[in-house]
Amino acid sequence: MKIRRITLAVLLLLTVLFVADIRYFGGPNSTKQPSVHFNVSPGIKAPAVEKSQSFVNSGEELSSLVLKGQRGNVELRSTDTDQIVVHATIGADSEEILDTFEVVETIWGSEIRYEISKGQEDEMPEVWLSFVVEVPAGMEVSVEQNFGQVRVHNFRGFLSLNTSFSEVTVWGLEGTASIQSNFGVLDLRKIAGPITLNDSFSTSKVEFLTIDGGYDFDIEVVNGVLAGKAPFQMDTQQNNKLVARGQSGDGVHPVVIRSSFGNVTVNLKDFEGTRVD
Amino acid sequence: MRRFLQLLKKDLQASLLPVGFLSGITIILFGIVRLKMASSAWPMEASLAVIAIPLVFLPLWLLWQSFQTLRSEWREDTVYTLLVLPVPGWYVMTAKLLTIWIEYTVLLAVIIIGTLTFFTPLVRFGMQVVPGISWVLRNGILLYLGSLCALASVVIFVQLAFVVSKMVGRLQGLVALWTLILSGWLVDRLGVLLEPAFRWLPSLPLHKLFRLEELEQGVVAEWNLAPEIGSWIGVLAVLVLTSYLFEHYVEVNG
Repeated sequence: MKIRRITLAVLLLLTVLFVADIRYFGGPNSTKQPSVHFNVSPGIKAPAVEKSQSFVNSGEELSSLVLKGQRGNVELRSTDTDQIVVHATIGADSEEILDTFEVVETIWGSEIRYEISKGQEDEMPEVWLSFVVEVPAGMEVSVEQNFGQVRVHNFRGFLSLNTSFSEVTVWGLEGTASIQSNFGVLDLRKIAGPITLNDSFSTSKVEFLTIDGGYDFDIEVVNGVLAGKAPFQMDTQQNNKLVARGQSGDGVHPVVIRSSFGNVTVNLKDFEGTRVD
Repeated sequence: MRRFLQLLKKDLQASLLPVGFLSGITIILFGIVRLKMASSAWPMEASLAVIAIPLVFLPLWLLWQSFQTLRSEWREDTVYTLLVLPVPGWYVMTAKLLTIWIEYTVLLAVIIIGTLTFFTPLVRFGMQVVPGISWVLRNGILLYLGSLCALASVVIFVQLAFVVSKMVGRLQGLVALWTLILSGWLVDRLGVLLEPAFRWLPSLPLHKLFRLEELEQGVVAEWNLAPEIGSWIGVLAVLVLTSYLFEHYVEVNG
């Protein structure tokens, strides 16, 4: 009889703990993050034939640049000159296909835009479009890229990236950045300024430099992993949602990160506090 | 060791009939569908459906068998003998676990051999999609080993649920079900609690282990082992606990 009572008592105790866990902590799904992480960034095959076009424009009249790349690389940097220099390379599987496409430059007001011309046929064949771009400091640059790489070095200005299945590297940014990434890998380093990052099914690493005014961190990760060494407090909410809030300095520059099914790491350089996992 | 083998032999003999029956049913089912396909009455896609049937049924069967192997000891009154014999509780539990593993292996082998024998066109088609036979064999073995581990954890939970249910007088079915839920929750929580202690472990690159780059370039799959280690320790603790309870406190009249 004694063992029956002990068994029932243990079951009852565990039941109370189980109910309390479900009631106050959201149950097993609330804090356990997925342990298997998938990342798919399909390999890019090289084009068989290529042709290049170059464009040089004065940046005095233009304040905004839009680049629409695909299946290729985009390299972007700021310079101290006032010229916008764009080297575009189109690639294709054959000369026939290559001849039907060219890079189109469009100027509309203060905006200049580069994209590939529409083909003759309804169905778009495989075409690669890569850019190597230099812009005056302080310019607003918007990049759209699917299946490829985006590399931004020492950029000063307003940066907007919209990428899918792409590898994005930003090393050195002074200004404002707005980044949207789906199924990608983001490596953002030496960031000095406010940033808005929306990613899904991506791995994102962001490293901020310490700047005057400091940062205001507002991070939400759903069904993903959040880690880093920065002045924010992480809170686990229901439905696999991780929320992190915090400030460095006066919290002047907003850092807004929204991630779903992603792996996000946020570091603030020279931060002395403990790492958050 | 000899006693363990005797226990294993006893359990295997008990499972010989149901496993033989299921294997026979599977082969007959495959044969009928093959004949229908040969007479062009059914399309090749029917082979996919007929292979899926035993594969879906297999986990349910093994779950039932996990209960059944212990239940039969009470039903046939052999539990008296088991408790009188000078064998530790973990001998009994692991012998039953090994029996389930062998049943699973035999039934899986029947499904694979049946597929290779009766549905050769489907296999040829599948081989065009995958990188090669060595890739299939390697990943097949890895998946098989992984499934053995997953199956073991299920069997261990079921064994604990059954043994605990035999320690109470009434509502044994409900107690077993509730114990199953609670033990699963407890082990999961243990994994979360012990996770910080194992963060030093590197992630396991599944894409390299399964050579996924040969299938699709750019696929990266990594398994963070830190939250799993605690759960695995928990599962082992459940096995030890079940063995101890079975050996010392189980009610033979329950």
